[in-house]
Amino acid sequence: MLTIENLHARIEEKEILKGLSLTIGEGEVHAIMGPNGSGKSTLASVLAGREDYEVTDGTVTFNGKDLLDMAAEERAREGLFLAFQYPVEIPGVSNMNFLKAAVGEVRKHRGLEALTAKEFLQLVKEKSQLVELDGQLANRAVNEGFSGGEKKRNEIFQMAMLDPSLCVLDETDSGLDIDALRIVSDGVNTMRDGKRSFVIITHYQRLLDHIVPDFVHVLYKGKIVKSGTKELALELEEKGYDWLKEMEDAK
Amino acid sequence: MSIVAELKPTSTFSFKPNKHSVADFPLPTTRAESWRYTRIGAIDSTWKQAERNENMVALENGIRIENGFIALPTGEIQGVSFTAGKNLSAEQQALILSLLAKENRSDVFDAISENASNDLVLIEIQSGKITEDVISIEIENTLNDCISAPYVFIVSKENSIAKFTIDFKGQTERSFHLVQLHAHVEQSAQLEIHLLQNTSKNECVLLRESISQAEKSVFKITTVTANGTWVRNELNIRIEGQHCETFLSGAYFPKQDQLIDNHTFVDHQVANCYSNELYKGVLFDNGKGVFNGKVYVHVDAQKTNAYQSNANIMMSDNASMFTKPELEIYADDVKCSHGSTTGQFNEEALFYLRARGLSEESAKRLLVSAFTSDVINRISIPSWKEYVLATLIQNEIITE
Repeated sequence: MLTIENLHARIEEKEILKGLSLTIGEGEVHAIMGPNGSGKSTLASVLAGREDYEVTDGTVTFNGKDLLDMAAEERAREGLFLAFQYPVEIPGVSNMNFLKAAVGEVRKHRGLEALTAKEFLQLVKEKSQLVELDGQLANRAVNEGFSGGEKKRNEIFQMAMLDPSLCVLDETDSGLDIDALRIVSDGVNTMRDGKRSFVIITHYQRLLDHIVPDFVHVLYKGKIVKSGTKELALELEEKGYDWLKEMEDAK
Repeated sequence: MSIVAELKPTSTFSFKPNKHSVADFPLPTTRAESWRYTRIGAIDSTWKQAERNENMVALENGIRIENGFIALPTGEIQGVSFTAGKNLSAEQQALILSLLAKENRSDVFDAISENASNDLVLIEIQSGKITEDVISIEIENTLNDCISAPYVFIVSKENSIAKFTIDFKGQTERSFHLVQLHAHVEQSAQLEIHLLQNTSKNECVLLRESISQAEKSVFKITTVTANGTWVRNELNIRIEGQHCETFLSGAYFPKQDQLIDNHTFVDHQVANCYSNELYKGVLFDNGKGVFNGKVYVHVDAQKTNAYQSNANIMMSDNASMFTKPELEIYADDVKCSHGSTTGQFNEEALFYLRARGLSEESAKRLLVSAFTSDVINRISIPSWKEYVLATLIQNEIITE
């Protein structure tokens, strides 16, 4: 599904990713954890195609294609979805019109027929229930005046609408109360179908109580320094990151 | 005089005692404050007056102005009467002169209007009339190098309600629209005017609008400028009676080497009135925009509530925007505010849309339509709003 090899990336003059390698298979859920400033969000941004970051070395192959060669919109159409850590408020653009345009583009790219207005509304109804998103929210401007929890639920709603093959969740748990965390996690779990893959970037273990990962990786200073299964997350929760940092810095 | 090749004598102002002579006035230069950012460049050229096209017909629901000549409907439309210059009664002539006298501007362009104008119409909405349908005014040049200099007078009589649309079209290689629009809104009347300026990309427009409002009247105007090489709208609104409401809004999209200039003046002469002004611009390529919004609150205009806002987005490094809010307030118990912003696109929003699969181009157009939606939503006529949006889509400014 996704193969990252020796990825180096920088923003302005600051190198943040320093040789990151990771392979994600079909249907797998990988959690990426790590202390602040380790490069977690940079990884999400580089995968999604944010142009502020410059990739200086390495390759990323997505479903056999060179991901780094694609513009942000092509990556989305190819089936990569980034759930933003800070979803953007866009006054004046209605959620529905925006989604209609996005779904249209994605379906066209995948050689699927355009949805009729009725089919689209049916899909909206079905997918918004997944994250218990009020129908009213769908009619408002994109994220405008949404609470933190509503914004994150809207991300998962969009994810469900666009039907991606790889979902990257960037700190989706930040700013969520316990109920919103449950709703968001339930939404994600419903979308786990054995084929779709997930990269879950998080600072805390609590999200992983709800979305149980197949693999856990620790990112530190722009590299993956330790990989394991879900037990690694529990160990990190208990012991913090310091022991890993010390071990790594001693090298 | 370079600006009009040869002025033919016209009958339009035969009743006007003191016609100005074009030769008496110099062309304005950028040394004059009101022309500081606007070079008259493109209109300082040789233009010729057209002949009347005898086959020209009025619109079903209004008038057509072709090359400066006006085709009127044969009778009234829902209590709205149309009177050509040559058929004005003495009383109507006096009314027109009184409206012209409110604008004490004597300059070269008024002189050209007076001398080059071929036609004039007085549109009167009878008192108490509430028009169901919109009255349309279509303004189009069909002759290359022509100057069109019509006068349109609108008088909304007491307690009437009417809505107008003014559609500037064009099909010439180059031509010049010098349009004078004078309106008076009588006591407790409501008048709305919605304009679209979509001339061919090499046409010039100088639109001089003088509006006056009597007490308890409501005046609303929207001006969307989609095209034209040199467009300047001078909108002067005099609020002469208490308890009036005034809404003026505009959206402009200069591209290539186009210039779009909006000079507005809201003159709060008396107390207890409300005005609300909202202009927004999106500037492409080498496009140039000018916004000068003057609000004058006289010493007696207590309890005035005046709000002004101008916001712009630069889509290109080579575009330029000159914006100048001017508030002069001489009353001490008023609420007035103004704000002006000029900036780049919200890159975060653009990336967000692209990350969902929208192309950069369609994401930009979506953001442009979002940015200007509050102006467009002030168009209270659904069919006209659709038409304006369709025009912007056709001009590749916004997306569906």
